[in-house]
Amino acid sequence: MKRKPLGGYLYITPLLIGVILFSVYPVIQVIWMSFHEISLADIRSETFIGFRNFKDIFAMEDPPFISVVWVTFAFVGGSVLFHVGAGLALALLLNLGWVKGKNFFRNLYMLPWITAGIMVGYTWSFLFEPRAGILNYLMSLVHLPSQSWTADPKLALPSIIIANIWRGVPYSLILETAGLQSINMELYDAAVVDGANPLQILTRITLPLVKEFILLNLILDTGLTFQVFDTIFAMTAGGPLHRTETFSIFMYYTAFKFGKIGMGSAISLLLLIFSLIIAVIYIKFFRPGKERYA
Amino acid sequence: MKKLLVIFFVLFLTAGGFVFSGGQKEAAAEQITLTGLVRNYTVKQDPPWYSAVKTFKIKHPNVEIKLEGLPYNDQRLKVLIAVGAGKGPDIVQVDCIWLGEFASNNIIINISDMLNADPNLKNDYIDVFRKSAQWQGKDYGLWLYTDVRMLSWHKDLFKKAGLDPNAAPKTWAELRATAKKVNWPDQGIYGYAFPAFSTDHTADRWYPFLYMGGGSILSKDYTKAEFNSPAGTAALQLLVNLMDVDKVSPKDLLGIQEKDVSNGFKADKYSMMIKVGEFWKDYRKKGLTMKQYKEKIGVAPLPIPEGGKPATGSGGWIAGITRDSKYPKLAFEFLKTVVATRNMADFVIANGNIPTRKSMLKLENEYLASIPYFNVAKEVLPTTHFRPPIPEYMQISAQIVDAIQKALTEEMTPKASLDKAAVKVNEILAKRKW
Repeated sequence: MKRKPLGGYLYITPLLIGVILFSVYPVIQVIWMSFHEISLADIRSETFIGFRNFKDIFAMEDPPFISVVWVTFAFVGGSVLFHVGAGLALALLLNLGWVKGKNFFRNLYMLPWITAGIMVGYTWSFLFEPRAGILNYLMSLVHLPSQSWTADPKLALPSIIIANIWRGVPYSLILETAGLQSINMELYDAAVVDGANPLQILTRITLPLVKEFILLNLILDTGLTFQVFDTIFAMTAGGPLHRTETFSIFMYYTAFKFGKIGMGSAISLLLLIFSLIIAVIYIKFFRPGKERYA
Repeated sequence: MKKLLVIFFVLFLTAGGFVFSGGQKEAAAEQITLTGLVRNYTVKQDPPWYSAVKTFKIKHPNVEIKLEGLPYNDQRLKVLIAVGAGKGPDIVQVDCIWLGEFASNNIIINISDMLNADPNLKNDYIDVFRKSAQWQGKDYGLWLYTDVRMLSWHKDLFKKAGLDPNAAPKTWAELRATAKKVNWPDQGIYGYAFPAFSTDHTADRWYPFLYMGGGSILSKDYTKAEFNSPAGTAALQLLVNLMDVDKVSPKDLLGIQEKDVSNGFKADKYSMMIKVGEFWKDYRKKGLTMKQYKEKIGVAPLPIPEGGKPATGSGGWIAGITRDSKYPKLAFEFLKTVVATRNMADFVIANGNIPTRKSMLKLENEYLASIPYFNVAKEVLPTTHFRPPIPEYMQISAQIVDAIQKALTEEMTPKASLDKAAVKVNEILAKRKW
């Protein structure tokens, strides 16, 4: 007997309304605003200007648009690579049978993730502090010269990446742990009986089976890292000389400091497009379900 | 006929009495609420707001005043967004650098008529302050309080270097020479600190050195960049000399927020720094008496270049009335209560700020007894300058901060970086809509 689909649609209607109101409508609004000249101090007055906001963004010199793209991708790439890598490594470690107090360590590792981004920024600012910071103190113990971490145009970007890695690893740890716990233990028993060594178990069983979790982790973490604002703002405010000015900081300054809401929306739209392109690349690259249905 | 007239008169009085008593009853019953978005630290004490509310309510018992305190960054955004949505408060506290943006977009209203109606108050403002609360010749707010940039130094570190702890450097050459003597980088103590982070503080603390050589940020009509004059180049060269040549100002200032530079000074990490005098409030909280403070911290006018003239810069806060206010006259009356001499003097004394009105300056003895640097502030006040109160100021400031950072990181010479920034600023100003 065939069920009428209407009932199903009724069930999802509340959620659908929520998605339209809180996700679809804001995106449409941002697209609409990005083609208008809107001033923060006169928010009700909009003038249609076509692609001029985008043209102005691409023509910008301080910071040049390409520099913002580079800083953003370096920040996102560096952060996500370590988030997923270290998260997976920790998840694998905490999944080993002989490790005691797994729940304690999992909860402990969650602390950075539940800490507000701005607090993470301030905390790492203290750690990176050139004279009183612990990092330079540790370097002095091994006779390395102290560094002006967040003040040096060459070191500022790595500094904010390190702080963001520390904050984001727990998120990956939880996702990867969920993936590892979904694997049927009988597969491991069978592999051991067949004489597989730990490396073979990892590469032939564990990684292929958590691949979809890694993909999910990559997509979600990339999206979240693109939006990181407070940690960077607290540590460097995008400086020195725009060397840590990611899309989110660039958007904030344009829209709220300089009051150009239309141009800020155009930057947000570009950020959305970049995020979507990367998500598509991830999906194409990983092709989830390929093994299952091939 | 007489009877008729008497009846008519009685009826008229009765009707009139009824109408007037009814009207009064209505006025007395009408509950009015005035709202205000103000700075968070001003609502942590009685003056200036809550003390004014108490006084105001005696005359207007039907008026309730609700105030919300906000941190610096939220203040501008929340006001602009609230007024943009048509739900702005009646009263707002406005940083003097936002005045042009707020006034040109009618976020705050022209109060010239109301201020002109009170010549005592109008003429009580020190001229430079009244003018800096004006946009295109019209008054848009009442000045609340100000501050001035001065040189602060650690007397004990001067003593350690064998210097007279009460003698501040008076010229740029003396500043460089003194900074070298009170510079112990191996002990984590540097001679001189100034903000160099990516915020307006960096430009703001550079401007006084620009003014000293006769320079200015923009032309008098605010339409052209002038900060790249020889005075500007010399002022920026001074900072480069301190950081890159003399190495008395650490490079890490480029990565430290202004408040952390101040904290560094309080932790004896810098011997001297350019500051606005807020140290006193912090030290007082720690239990230091004024005498102890004066023994510890020296305050003096900023050193000037050879052949230059004394100059400094000021910031500060203005109170305005938004276009959303339903009761602008009532709001103005409340603001007059806030800025009343005694009320504002109490705030200035509690907070360590500087008054902006002649009648307030007459209470000099009170300030001298409670603000350790007031004598110096009073001395430099006539030489103070304000940042341009135009809507584009934040964009201009960002360009100047970039120029300062480029020179400090030795990516460009001071002249080249200022010239480049001036081109950008002229482009920004060419697009102005006022």
